[in-house]
Amino acid sequence: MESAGLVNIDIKILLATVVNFIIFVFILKHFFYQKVKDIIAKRQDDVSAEIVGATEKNAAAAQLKKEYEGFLADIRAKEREIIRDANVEAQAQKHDIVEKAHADAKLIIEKAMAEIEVEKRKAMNEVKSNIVDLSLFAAEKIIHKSMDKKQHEAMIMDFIDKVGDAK
Amino acid sequence: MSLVAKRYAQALFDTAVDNNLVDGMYDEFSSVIDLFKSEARLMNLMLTPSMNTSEKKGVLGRVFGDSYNQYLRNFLNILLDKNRFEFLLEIHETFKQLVLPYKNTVEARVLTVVPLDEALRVALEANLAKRFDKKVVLENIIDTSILGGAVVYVGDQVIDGSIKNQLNQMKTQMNSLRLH
Repeated sequence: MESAGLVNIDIKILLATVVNFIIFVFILKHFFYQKVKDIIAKRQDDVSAEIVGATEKNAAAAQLKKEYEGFLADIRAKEREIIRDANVEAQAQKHDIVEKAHADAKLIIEKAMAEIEVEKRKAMNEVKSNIVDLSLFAAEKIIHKSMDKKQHEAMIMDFIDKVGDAK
Repeated sequence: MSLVAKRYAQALFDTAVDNNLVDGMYDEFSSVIDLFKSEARLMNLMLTPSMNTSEKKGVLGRVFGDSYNQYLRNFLNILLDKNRFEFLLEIHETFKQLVLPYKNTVEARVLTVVPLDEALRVALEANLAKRFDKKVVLENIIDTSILGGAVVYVGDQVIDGSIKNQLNQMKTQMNSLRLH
């Protein structure tokens, strides 16, 4: 009995294994190689197409980004312009409002002054009228008390003379 | 003035003119009116429906007797017959308005504080007559509110020589002074 080592090489088994392997490779090559190759090629094509697509999309996105940045810049410029215009308009309006307020205030002051003048004049006239009334009232009382019959008759005589002269 | 008063007054006036009795008729009619004004009961008696016309005529006859002219007495009786006695005062007023122009006379009222004595009255009537070219019949009314002087009303004209008027003119002048 042949002593057996831990690793023995059996030529027959080796040959059979090699033949099997060759047959296996042949079968693989014959039946699956082209298909696998096609699948891999297709897969590579797909990947390439996706890469191309992604690149195009990136480029498009970059283009869009550029456009949007352009738009954004335009918008910001317009925004600045609108704000500037609004500021100018607001300044103009502020000026108008201030001018109008000044004019209104002037008018109100003038009107108030005129009213004060009228009231002052009215009050003075009222005082004057009261003084006149009081003076005449006092005069009436004095005349009423101080005139006697002779004086009345003298006045009537004077009136009669004037009536005669008046024609 | 009512049409009734105008008609009766005109009729009485025409009768007075035709008989040359205008002055007498006016004076008598005026004294009749004065009597009716001072004796309201007499007027009420003439207007009362509870007394018949002949009784009223009898009262009138006894009150006025024969002292008034026949035309005036007949006129008053006609007013009773026609049931127009209520228009008596109005008829007298209208009659007066017919008589005064006929006599070239105008009525005037003079307001004074003291009564006009005869001399002043005559002088004023004379001067007013000169001024208006008409005889003036003056009625003196005492009014202390004029303070002094006199105010004469002739028709729609006023001659104001009162102290009150002078004071009012003074007041107007003083009030029209501008204060600065």
